[in-house]
Amino acid sequence: MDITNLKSWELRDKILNKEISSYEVTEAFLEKIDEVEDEINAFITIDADRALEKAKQFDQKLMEGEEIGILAGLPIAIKDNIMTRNLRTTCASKMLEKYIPPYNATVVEKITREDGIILGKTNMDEFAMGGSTETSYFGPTRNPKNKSFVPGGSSGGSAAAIAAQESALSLGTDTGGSIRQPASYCGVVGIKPTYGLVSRYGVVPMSNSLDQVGVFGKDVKDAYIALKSIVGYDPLDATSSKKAKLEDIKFEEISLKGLKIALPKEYDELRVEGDQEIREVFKKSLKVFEDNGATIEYVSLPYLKYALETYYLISTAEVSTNLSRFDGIRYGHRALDYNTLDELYINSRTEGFGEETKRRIMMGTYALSQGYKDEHYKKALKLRTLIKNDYDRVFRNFDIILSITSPILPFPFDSVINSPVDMYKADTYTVPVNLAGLCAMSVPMGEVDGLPVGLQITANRFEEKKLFTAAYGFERSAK
Amino acid sequence: MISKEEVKDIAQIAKLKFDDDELESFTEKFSLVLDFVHHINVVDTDGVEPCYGIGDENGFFKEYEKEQTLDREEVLKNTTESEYGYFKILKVVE
Repeated sequence: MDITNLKSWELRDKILNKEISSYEVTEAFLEKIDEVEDEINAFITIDADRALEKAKQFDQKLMEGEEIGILAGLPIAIKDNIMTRNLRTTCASKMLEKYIPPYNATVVEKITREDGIILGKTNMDEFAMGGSTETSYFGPTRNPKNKSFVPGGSSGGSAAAIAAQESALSLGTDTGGSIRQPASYCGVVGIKPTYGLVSRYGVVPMSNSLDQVGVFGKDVKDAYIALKSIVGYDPLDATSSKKAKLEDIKFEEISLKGLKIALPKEYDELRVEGDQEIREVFKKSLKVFEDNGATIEYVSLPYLKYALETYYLISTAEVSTNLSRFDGIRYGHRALDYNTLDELYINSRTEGFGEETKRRIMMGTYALSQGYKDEHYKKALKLRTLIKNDYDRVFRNFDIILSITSPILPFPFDSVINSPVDMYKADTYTVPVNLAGLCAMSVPMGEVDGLPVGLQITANRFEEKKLFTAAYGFERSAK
Repeated sequence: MISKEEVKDIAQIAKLKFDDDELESFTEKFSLVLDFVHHINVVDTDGVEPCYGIGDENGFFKEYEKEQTLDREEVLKNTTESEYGYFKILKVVE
């Protein structure tokens, strides 16, 4: 039997019942990595020896009857923009090709404390900028469902690692859809938690006010275990919330009856070419909710139409300031050829960053520059207020908002990447969630042309329980 | 449409450089991206407060205490050149 087929919650039960050891589970996933990784390329760095050693230590701990953390010896893969002490962390960039962090991100500390076994670091778009994992310095990840197609991005490696059964669970980061979109493309569950629910300490920042760490799993219960292990207030992250908690959920008692669902009618105006079939699958999914006693109503969020532009102005402004830390001096790539300090900066950055990263730094620099700042950056911040107000109004009367996760299907390599604006438009449904700091989840809702498509469930800030209720109720009934 | 000269100016602020052969294609794609974000200019935002972040919890002052710091040797492992426990760069003051 191939145990990498099993859900994490099933493996967890087996480990806790001592039917199988964490060592055997870890070994099985490492064997799977050996088998498929040449084709998939979900990982940048694999930490096999240390993983097996940790699994052995865990099994010992279990034998001795010590208290066991929620991850109970399950293998987990970490996106490569999350710092792991003594384990290379590259952000998929030439800039950090050799960077060895001297400390752990808080989420990594938590995973270790909760008895997760870290298998390695997953591939991503460079500095988490992109929607296809094609901008990685270490080559693209392939979609396990169809290897001629992209896995989505930026957390493409973390999503593919779950779909290809290379890891039981994984962590990603989501600034504008970087967990939900690859989850949709790879047919797995992905959660972007409320801003402030999970610590960002030790996570290489892209856009501070939008970034959030989240999780991937095979199904809703898997994702719950992963999320439960990393939530919580962290004094080391000034934006982490003192309200950060994830309630216990009794999945067997979940019902969709009485759930109030809102559908933004503006989404009909935001249609992109070729989304017809995805919308058909979406309609069928709505019926599952209705058949199980949920109510659905159309609502209006008039400022949603401007979310994408608002997002790209704010995020790039933050990117340009964040990435100014890469100066070639303290860490990261340093050019060999320079005569002045200015040349050291310019040559190191020019050689170390890829095209999309440069484009976003340039755009942010432009949006923040004298003479344009009010027209662009300030204007975007005001729109962010209007978008947030729209959501606040809707959530006074509704539990969740439903939409498709991505308006386009997974696409072939070297296609959309050549048109940055089309690539950005794939984020239409995901970016507003980050602007308003809400929580959202992508769950598989079916297939179009043999490719997976995801349903996006959005709930108000710190209402993760409603996400799990809707997602599990749907997953169970849609089977 | 943004000009190549403007792109060069912004690159200088961002401490980046584009070769002449790269500049053409970069400017072209960059223009498309700028046209795209300009759409928001049609919205009337007079009197709206800007939103810099979502959190509604007030910041607070940390107790002053000596915290554990990173190990100097380990930190210096990530630099290209170091000397006497410091980052080494070229001489900037004669």
